[in-house]
Amino acid sequence: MSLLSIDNLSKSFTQGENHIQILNNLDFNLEKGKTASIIGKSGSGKSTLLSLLAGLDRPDTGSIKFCGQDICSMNEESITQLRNGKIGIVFQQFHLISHLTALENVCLPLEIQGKQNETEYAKQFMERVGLSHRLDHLPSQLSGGEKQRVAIARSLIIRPELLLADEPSGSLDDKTGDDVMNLIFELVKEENTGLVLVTHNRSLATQCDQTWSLSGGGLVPEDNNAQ
Amino acid sequence: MLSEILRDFKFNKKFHLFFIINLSFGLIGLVGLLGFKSSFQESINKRSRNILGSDLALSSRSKFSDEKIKEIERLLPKNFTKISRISMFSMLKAENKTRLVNVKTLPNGFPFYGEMQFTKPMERSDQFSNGKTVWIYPEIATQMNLGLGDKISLGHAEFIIENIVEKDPQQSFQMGAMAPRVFMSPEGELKAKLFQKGSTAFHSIHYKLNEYVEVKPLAKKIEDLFTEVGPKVLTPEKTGEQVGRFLQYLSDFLGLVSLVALFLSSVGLFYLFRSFISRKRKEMAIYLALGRTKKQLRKYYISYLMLLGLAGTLIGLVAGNLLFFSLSSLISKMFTFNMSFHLDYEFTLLAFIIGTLGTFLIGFPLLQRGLSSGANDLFQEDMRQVNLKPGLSWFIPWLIFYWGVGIVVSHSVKIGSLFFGLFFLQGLIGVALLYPFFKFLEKISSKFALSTKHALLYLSRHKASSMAAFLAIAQGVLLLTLIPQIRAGLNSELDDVDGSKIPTLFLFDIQEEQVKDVNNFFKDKKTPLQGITPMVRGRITKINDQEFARPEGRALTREEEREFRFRNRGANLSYRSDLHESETIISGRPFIGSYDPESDKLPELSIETRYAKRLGISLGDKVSFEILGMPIDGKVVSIRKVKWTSFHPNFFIMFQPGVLDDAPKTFLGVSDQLSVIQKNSIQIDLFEKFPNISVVDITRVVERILVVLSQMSVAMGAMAVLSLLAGLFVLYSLISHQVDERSKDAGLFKMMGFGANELRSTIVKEFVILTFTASFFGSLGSIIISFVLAKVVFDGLWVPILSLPIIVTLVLGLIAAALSWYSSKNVFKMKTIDLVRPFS
Repeated sequence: MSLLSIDNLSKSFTQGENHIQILNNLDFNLEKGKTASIIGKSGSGKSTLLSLLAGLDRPDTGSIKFCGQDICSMNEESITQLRNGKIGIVFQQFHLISHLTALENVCLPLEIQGKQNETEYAKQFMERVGLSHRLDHLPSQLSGGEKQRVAIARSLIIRPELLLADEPSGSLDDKTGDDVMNLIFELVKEENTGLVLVTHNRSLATQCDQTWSLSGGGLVPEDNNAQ
Repeated sequence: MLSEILRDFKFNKKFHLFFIINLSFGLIGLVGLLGFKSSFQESINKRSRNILGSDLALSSRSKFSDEKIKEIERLLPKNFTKISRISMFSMLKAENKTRLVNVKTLPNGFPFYGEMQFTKPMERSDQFSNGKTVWIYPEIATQMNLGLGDKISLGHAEFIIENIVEKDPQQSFQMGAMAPRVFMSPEGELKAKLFQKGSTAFHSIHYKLNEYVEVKPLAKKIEDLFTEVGPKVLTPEKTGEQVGRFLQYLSDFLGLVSLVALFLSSVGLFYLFRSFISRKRKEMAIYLALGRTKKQLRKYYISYLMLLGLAGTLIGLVAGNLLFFSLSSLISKMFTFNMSFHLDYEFTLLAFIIGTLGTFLIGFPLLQRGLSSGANDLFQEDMRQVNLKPGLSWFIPWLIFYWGVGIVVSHSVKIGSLFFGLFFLQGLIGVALLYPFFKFLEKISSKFALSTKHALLYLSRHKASSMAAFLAIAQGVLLLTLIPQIRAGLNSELDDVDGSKIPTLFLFDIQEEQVKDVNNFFKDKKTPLQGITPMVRGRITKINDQEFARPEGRALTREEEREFRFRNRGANLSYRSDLHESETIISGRPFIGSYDPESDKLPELSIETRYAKRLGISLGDKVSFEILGMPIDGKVVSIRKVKWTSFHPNFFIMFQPGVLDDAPKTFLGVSDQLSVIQKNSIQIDLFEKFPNISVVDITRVVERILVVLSQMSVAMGAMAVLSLLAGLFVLYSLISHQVDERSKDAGLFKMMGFGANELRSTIVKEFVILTFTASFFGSLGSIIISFVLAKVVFDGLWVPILSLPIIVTLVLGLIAAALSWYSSKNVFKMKTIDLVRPFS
């Protein structure tokens, strides 16, 4: 069953007098519970694609269907609701709320959903990401790896159908980055969550079920066994 | 470097604007006051010789002996002109009205300097040509419905009003003297027989020195000729200082209040500069990585900071002076003192130093902290999260500076230090109370809906900024609500809520032989005279055999000067066996009967508590007096508290009966509360029968005090409003800063499904809660302080006005809501898409 399918997707920007075609007639499909990576050089449009998939931005043309629903035709409120319930996002820069503790950051999406008293469940999740001893710490008191683990817990606590990860190990050292990625792969597998991983790290990309290369505005499938 | 700074000024426009406005706002009040002071001082300096009317004068409660005058005149240059004057209180009667006036004789040719201005233009040579005319102050004309040519009675004679004085260069600026002046010739005074034995009168001799001589050392030499302290040697300089003393004190006090606004703006500056440095850290780190030294960067940012400080100071200087300039005519009218705008370079320099140095001392520690870690900061994943709080010790220079400013502005080490100490203490108490309060907010936050919860969490976890804004608003509210509360207490005290205790008339200069007749007079009027109390003039010479001595070889501080003056002025003494109901013994015991001259014990004394404190007199001390040349010793057996607002005859020093009974004395007394008709008829009949007795209409005095209180509270209220505005500006800076800082959070919240309006309401709730609680605590503080002041300082009624704090709290809550709603309009600026790197 298709979790995410994009069809003929295009996006361009205008900078001054320059028209920049970032994405050009992309087609892509991801089955439920499967993982896909998108690799590309800096400026190739990886994050633009990710923001379109998250419903944070609108394409010029084409459609993005999530569980059969075209998110491009949804209004802002419906997309926000969809994201809050079914899509988790992990950023390269973690983006934790600085005045909330690790546990509070993780609880936040549930609270926004109107679910109160989910602290125990959040604590369990914190334990799964190995941070049961850092529950009451503020982001400023955590290391980069720990912050990213909190961000992962926060994105997965709503049990999303799709996790969008934007260079999640990009700000971390190799060892920590590997640990974080292993955690993501482990959790999405356990939760049967689809994953779109944006990265420029080819070896990381090949750990996904499918790998796509974004170049010159086009999306080309890569053979994971090629290397 | 300047061009680089100016180029950078094009960016961060909001920060620069806020910084400059914030600083100028803090300075406006102070600059306006310094402008007032300098203009006032300049007017006094220019007019000091006109105020005295001569080059040198002697003044005393008793007449100068011929020998003494000869002795003094031997020290003067040969060529001088002199005149003698007398000034006393007396009752003026016109038709069916009477009024206490201050009669001053004006011999021909006086004043030597300065000219009076009259309603009807006149030549100086026309002055009291026949001893039958007087000049009066305009308020006498208004209050008694008198005009030129009308007849009045003074003492035993009738006079015709020849002119009305519109401007008297010798008028003191005492916020409306109790008795307006009447001028007459010495012949007129003799005719009226105003001066009698025991009359409250001042004798003065004025000299015009016709050749140049340094007056100050001459005055000192003359002072040394007097062994007694009563007589005064007046110079134009001294007189200038004296006449404006009240306004000087008031402006010094207001200067301190204006420092609150300056302090609050410093809080705002600290906050603004901290976020500026926080934003600039990356840039600094990049510069360092590229090879610029920390020294170069420090120089650059100090110049940057100083340019901002300079701009804020200059705007503050211009705005403050403009404010004073535009209000100067109103101020002149309010304080009945003509003063023209004067820009003093010393005061301008002072304001300039306060603005620029203050900015430097606030900004430098933050800059140092910003530069502390260097280029390796670039490897931090989120530089903004690195702690930017410098240690408290970095702000010690600023605190010392602020302390110094307090001393300079108040002209007093004691008051300046006290102000600073109280302010500092209040801040410490505030911080100590706020910590648990924020903890409490944090604890209860989980009980609320999401937006309130996050409002409380933002508030409680951004302690430094929340506390800064909290203290700023609480401070402003406290000042704003405290002044009307104190005023309400004093008003109620003077209005006499319990009805019947404050007398209507206060009589003085009753001669000993008149006491019986005056008593009978009042009995006939069916309103017996109360509390007839004798009054004897004397002065303290020693306490426990220690003489008062002026410290030699150095200039006195303002406190020392005041203390010396206080100790050395004569004292009115009295005696009675029982206490009046307005008196309470707070330590010691009542007098034991009458004094027995045969006993070897000293006569017993009772001293009023504050007077005792001021003179350092304690229970059991021996106090020596000189009473009309006679030395008399006494021993303090009680310390009394006196409720002065009873307007009953009360004295600082009371003797046991049997000591002063034979001394020459006059008597005081008060009437019951009288109706207006009774009051007028009694005053007229009393004047007919006893023209020498002076009567103060207490109702009028109370009215005058209430007017003065209202004028003072307007001035202080204006300063309080300024402080509150500075506090609100801090709040606005804080809200704007927080909205900027939280744009990333806003994007995240939105991404996770938090509605934009909910997000906005979080910010509004946060600042409304902050303002509301700060206003509440500020109001509570004002109620507590007004209670303490009423009970401890004024020893009187406490009349809290609860409506004012409630209104202020509500209004400020609304303002905070509006400000935060307006400022958070940009909360939508941060799009969720910006959280993902664009174009990657």
